[in-house]
Amino acid sequence: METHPSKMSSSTWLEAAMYKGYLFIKRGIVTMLSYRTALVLGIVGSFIGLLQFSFMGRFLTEGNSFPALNAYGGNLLAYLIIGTAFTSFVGVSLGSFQNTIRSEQQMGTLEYLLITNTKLELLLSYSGLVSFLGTLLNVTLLLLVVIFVFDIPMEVNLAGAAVCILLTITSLSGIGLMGAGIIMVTKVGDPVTWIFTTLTGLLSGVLFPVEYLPGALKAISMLLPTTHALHALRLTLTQNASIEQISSQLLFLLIASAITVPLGFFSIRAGFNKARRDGTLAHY
Amino acid sequence: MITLNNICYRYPRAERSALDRVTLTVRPGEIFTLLGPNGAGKTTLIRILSGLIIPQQGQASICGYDTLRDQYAARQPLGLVLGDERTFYYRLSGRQNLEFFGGLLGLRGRRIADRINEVLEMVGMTDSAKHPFMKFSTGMRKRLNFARALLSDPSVYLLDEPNSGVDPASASHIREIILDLKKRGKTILLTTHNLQEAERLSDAIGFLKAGILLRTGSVSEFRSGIERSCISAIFGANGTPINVEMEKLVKRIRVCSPDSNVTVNDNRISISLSDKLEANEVINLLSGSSLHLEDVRYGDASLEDVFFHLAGGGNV
Repeated sequence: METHPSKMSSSTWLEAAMYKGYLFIKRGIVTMLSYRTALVLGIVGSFIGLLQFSFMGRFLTEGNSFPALNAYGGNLLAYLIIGTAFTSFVGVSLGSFQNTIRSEQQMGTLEYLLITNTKLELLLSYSGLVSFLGTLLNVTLLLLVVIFVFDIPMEVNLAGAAVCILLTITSLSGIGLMGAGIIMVTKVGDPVTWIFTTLTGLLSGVLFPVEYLPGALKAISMLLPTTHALHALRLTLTQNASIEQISSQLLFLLIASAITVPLGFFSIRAGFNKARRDGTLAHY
Repeated sequence: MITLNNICYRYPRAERSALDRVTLTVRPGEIFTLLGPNGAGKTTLIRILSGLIIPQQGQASICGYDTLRDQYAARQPLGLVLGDERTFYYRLSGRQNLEFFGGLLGLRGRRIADRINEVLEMVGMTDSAKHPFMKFSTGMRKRLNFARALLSDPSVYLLDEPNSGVDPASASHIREIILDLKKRGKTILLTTHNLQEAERLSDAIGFLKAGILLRTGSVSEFRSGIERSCISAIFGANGTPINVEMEKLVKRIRVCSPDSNVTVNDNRISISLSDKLEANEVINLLSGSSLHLEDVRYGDASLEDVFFHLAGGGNV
């Protein structure tokens, strides 16, 4: 049996934690590969979506110019593709914890996971990690296709983009955890994630620049971490912007993470304890 | 050792408590079986001991560790088998599932591979574990569930109806494993509806009804609660309205044997006789009824008699 965490050295603890992370990744890959049809359809679906955007982008760019996109190199297709890729990260950050809990409840494995003495926060983080890696792979493939097949000019600062994505995921995961905490109690329907997803799609500049928003909505848009994250991501992917150049956006994301992550962990712990008091841990 | 002290738990919006001031001790190396009708609170009790439900009142502990205040330590010596059939990842093989849960339990490398081989052999699934879980029969799923509980070689097992829905061969196999665990000094809290199984395996038995622990004791102590002779009769359908006729029959038995204790469960009547001399007369009444008498049994009280008396609400 495993030693109590308080009695482990930090390197042993880290090794054990990494091994558990590996177990989740392996489980995710085995499960994903077993759904061969869904896997193929998912990949094909992504490329169909990409084609749609490419045609739309070409159509819109013909004879038109978009001054609002100049900051990102002026290419509409690149603008839309990055916006779409970004929403994948938003979706996985906000939804993966809820989806994990729901899936474990449906499998009947949630209670067995909890009694393995792996901390709840770690269990969710590992499952989230699998979803993030899957999304990262998917998005990277899409971007590669965009760059090489459609010959779209992109000047990429990989390190900057990676830091930006990491902070985006961190800040949004806090909100995702809050939603998961709520879903443990309500079972269906989580207003936090719903509001945030809707606001992101509408106000963060996914499909059009936030400059086109009226004053009040623009002010709300500037409060959303997704607006800053998407702006920074576009700059790093299209303009080779350095970390210094996007430092104000990264700082915003860092502050957002410092607020949302502790709140998220508090919410998920409170949600689980409420479910334990109500005897509804396995209910969905 | 497992202890429950004055445990109270009521589900939200429930009309009555699922567990009402339950106090219980399972001694080290003992098999303690909880009996009781459906909804008695057996599974809730197991979940409280696992830390999956927080009781409103009382304390539970495993090997001296409080299941709430020191969850981690209390779960360390614990092997859990819940009654649900679907508790694994469908797309993973039996072995991959065990590798996953074993890894989370802290087993790694050669140790986990060896241990998985050992437990698969114990549950008789060495060859079949390579197949995906979704292809397993109910019996195999139950045995794999048992294998998971065995993985970390815990000292305490909580087994919630481990044999429900399995064929006799698989049930027998699981019973053998439970007896083997007992030989190795493990402490086991078992719930079951199979009274023969309870009689065969248990060192001690407790009877839960509507959240109240009505009686505990060794199997013989439990049976000795009914020191009188018992008659059990089971009736089948023959077109006669069974409820009305049963009611008439019970009235006649009470006239014939006024101090006996009569309980009715569906199509079964159990009579605990105050005087053995009344037995013939009562049996004549039973066989002379307009109902179709399928089976009648007379003798010293069995665990089944005790169960029906307690479940039926009769005073023994």
